[in-house]
Amino acid sequence: MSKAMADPMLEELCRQRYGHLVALATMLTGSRESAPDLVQEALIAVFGKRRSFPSLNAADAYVRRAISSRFVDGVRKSSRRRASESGFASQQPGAHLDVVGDDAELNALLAQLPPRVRACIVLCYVEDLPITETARALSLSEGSVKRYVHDGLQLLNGALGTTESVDDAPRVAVETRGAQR
Amino acid sequence: MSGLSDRMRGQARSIEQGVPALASGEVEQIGKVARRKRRSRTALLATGVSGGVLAIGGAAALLLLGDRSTADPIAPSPSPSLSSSLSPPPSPPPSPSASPSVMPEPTTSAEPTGTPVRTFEAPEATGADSFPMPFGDAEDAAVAMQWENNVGGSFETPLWSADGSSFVSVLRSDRLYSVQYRDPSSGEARTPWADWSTLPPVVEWAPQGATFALWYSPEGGDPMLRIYDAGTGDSTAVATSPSDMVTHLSWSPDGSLLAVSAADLDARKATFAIVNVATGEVTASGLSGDAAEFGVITDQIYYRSMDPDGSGLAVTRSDATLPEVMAQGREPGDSVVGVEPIAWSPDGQTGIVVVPDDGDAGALYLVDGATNEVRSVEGAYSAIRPIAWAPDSAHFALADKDGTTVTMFAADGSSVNSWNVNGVNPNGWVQGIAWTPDSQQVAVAVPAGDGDVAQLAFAKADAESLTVLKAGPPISSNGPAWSPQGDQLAWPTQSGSTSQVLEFRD
Repeated sequence: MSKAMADPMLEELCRQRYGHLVALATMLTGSRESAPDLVQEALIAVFGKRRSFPSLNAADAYVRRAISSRFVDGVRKSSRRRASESGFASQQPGAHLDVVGDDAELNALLAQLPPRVRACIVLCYVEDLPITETARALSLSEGSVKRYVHDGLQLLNGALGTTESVDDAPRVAVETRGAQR
Repeated sequence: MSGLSDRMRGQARSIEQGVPALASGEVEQIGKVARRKRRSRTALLATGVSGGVLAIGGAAALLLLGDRSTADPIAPSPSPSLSSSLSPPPSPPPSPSASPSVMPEPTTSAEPTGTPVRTFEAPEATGADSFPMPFGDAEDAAVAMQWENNVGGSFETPLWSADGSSFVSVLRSDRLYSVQYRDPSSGEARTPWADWSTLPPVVEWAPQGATFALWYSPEGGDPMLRIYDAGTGDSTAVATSPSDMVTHLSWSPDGSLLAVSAADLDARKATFAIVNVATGEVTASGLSGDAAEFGVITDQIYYRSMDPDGSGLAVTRSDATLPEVMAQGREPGDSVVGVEPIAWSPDGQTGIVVVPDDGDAGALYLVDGATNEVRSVEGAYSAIRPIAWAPDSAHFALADKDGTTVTMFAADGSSVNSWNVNGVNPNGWVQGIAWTPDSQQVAVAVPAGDGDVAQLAFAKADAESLTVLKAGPPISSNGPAWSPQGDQLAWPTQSGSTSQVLEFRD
């Protein structure tokens, strides 16, 4: 009767938010293949520390943070490795281009961004994190995040004709329209 | 707003739609690896900490709020001042009232004795024109108001104030949260903060009146804990905990104290503080499990422990400087943690807690509100789905470990009836549970299809099966909430982007 079951919260999170988590990882990595691995690593990291969360939303918040920070940790490690192997420390964008999402133009542009720049852009414009929180999530200084976002925006604005700037908060005001019946 | 955010988010949405669901085998595998990791971590901790609940610190030792320079409370060797008055017994307390009374003879059958899990025929559709409820007169229900958001977000289950004059709606949009509270008679809404919260906000209404405590992590700023008067809109800051995520708030029965439970963002430690609401003074603080919370009728505080070496359900009084273990639900070495807070009956006599087991879903425990006796109830139940008390405190209902069966219990823990929701939807599960205001029926939100939309099904204690509410707007899987007076029902509707308040009149 006792069938082996994963943690209920883990199950619930995977059932309800897995696609959402993979979408974040895909936006960060640009790779359809490595995104699920990144999500899996983050899930193991978070659920390996504790099994109890006050809510699904809280578990979701922890896992999202873990996805972002693990992605940048991976970038750090691989750039160190490259540096020691070839003495060339600059971060190169991914060599091949996965087709992800419907927006091919955006996909191609994001693929041109160095990984850390891409991470900052994704956290600011998909996750809606402010600079301070992006810096905290990625363990970077605020100055670096501003510089990365600035670099990324230069490329994206130039190609897409958008006018985003570092200081523009990418915020939406919530309006709820009420109706009395 | 320029198009970059929109295009980035649109791209993320299109990626999301192409992601295949994770097979249950894969989820199991992740859970297995995570459990192995937890165990090895536990073994490490257990060698360092002298066991028991009692990594709970003294008032002066660890301040959750304010002084950030305090020592890491999970430090392996507690200082003498911390442990002296709190030495834990290595085994459960000897008092019979405090030891767990596990039901002696587990039946071999998968079905609890006397309460077979019922199967039932496909429910009949009821009329589609009016808004029929399985109680009262169909025509008596009317949509009083509805509203929708402009960001494609989904509303969570509304939370009513004690006096029914207001309710709070939390709106989730991707990973950001916004909070509004609303006057159900005029529909007028107020927003405590204009900013989005980057972490899930925690809202708790005071036991009387229309005051709520709200913890919120605004973009670009430090998290805030404030007390709001829903009538006037006035608020006062209590304290902030700059780097921690508040996980649970609990009011003392007289509304003078607030227990604040928090965890750091690495999920490594959990702390609590008891705050005097009027003065902002921290009256006690320390390490806790996932939550420190007040009883409903007494000023006792219940702690639940996060780490397996700090086990037990500890109970103390709010005027005590140091917590003292009065009851322990389980053997030290087992973790007593609940994802859901203790669910107290409205009369405060009985608390329910589901303790997740390692690997299986949770075990059900009953806490006697007067004696603090903790006893277990046979069966495996869902640790993450809500426990719902009937307003008259005579019954409670919760989902089983698979989340597909709702069991109704009497207040003493004996099961009364149970229903499988797969008759409502073969792939459905129990998402939200609410009782009708007359305490006669339990209402269950069963997600249909993609999980965003749910059907609402009702059953009386002696019902053979659940009756599905077919007409009316599709309900969001987050489930409905009745006002304390029982004359209004607020619910988020399909995909959660609309919320409605329905009104019932005599």
